[in-house]
Amino acid sequence: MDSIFGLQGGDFVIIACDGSIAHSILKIKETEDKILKLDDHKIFGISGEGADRNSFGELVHKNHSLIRYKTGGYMNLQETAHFVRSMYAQAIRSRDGPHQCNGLLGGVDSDGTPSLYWLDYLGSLQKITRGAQGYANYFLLGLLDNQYKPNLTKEEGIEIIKKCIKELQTRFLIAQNKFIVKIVTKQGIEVITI
Amino acid sequence: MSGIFEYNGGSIVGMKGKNCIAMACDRRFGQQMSTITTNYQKVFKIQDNILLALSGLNSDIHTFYALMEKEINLYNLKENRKMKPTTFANLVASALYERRFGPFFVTPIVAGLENGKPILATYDSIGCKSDLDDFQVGGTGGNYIYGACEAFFKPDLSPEELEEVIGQSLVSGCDRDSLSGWGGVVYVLTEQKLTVKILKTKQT
Repeated sequence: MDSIFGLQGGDFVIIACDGSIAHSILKIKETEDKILKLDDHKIFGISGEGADRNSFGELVHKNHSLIRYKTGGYMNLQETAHFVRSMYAQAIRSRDGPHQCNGLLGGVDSDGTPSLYWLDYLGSLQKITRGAQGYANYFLLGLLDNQYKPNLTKEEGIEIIKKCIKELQTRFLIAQNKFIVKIVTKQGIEVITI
Repeated sequence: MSGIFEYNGGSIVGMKGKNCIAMACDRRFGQQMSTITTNYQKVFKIQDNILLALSGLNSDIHTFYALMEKEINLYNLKENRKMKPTTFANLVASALYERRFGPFFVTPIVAGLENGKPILATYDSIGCKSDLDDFQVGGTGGNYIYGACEAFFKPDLSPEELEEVIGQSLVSGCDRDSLSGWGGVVYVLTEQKLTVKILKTKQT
């Protein structure tokens, strides 16, 4: 039921998530942050059951830190995306089975190039300019395709995300009132709650 | 999961010509009915004279391609020479069979030029190699492309003609298959060079 969606602009990446945690018909929390900060210039929005989301998120975060310590301190977006993919891919044929969560990994490299990657629980990986996970796909892909153009500015990107949020609030059966939006630029990560 | 091979969709085709080979693939990556991206590469250059096309589950395409890259890099380092296309074709078969009881959900096509002679091999997901035909298909649109291939193909086509024939076969096939399409990419390999061309199919 989580909505995770995002887009890549000229020099930034935005990932947005809904804030709700629900158990059956009860909404437990409205302000849950489902976008994990991997380092100062990388974020990973994860959609899935709470436990899977948290445990896989921690696994990615800690293993990412470990690899950086081992190999000299910096991993760019492409390396990180492939690394996270390999964690997913290794799990699908393991005893415990796949990690039951999907994700959007985005960030800006040290040279300023933004990238956004779409990852799913089987280990599929695609570099995208705009996309969503879960039910949000059905409502937002058309809107994102229509509004997107190359080299968007940060302000234009935020406007598009606001339109996406409005769309979900209008048409999605499940009421999702609060959204957390994270924007990564060369300067760092900015968080807005809408 | 009804049809793990149909989950992400996609089609590939390979053909032999006169001292040249061609490979083509569509560009769609989807999740059943939903399309995620339209620039998904399914043909990989393993070596200057070997191309590997993979169709099936996206995750296994990444994994299997990485595995083949690793094998060929290790081979180059250990043997200090390039791998022959027939050797690589055998390697793919045995790599697939190694996972006999937990297979990779991919159907590969290998194409290459060995001393100017074209090599083409296709496999099922557990490594049964078939290298007898002059054209091979794979993926969800495979059967549609077969029909077009049978109609257009002739033996010993020149690189330009081969590019035309494989392009037309791919486009006709993908236009009918709902899980393939959103553009096509054609690779033609001759002794001298590899040319890559992007084609338009019906944008659905």
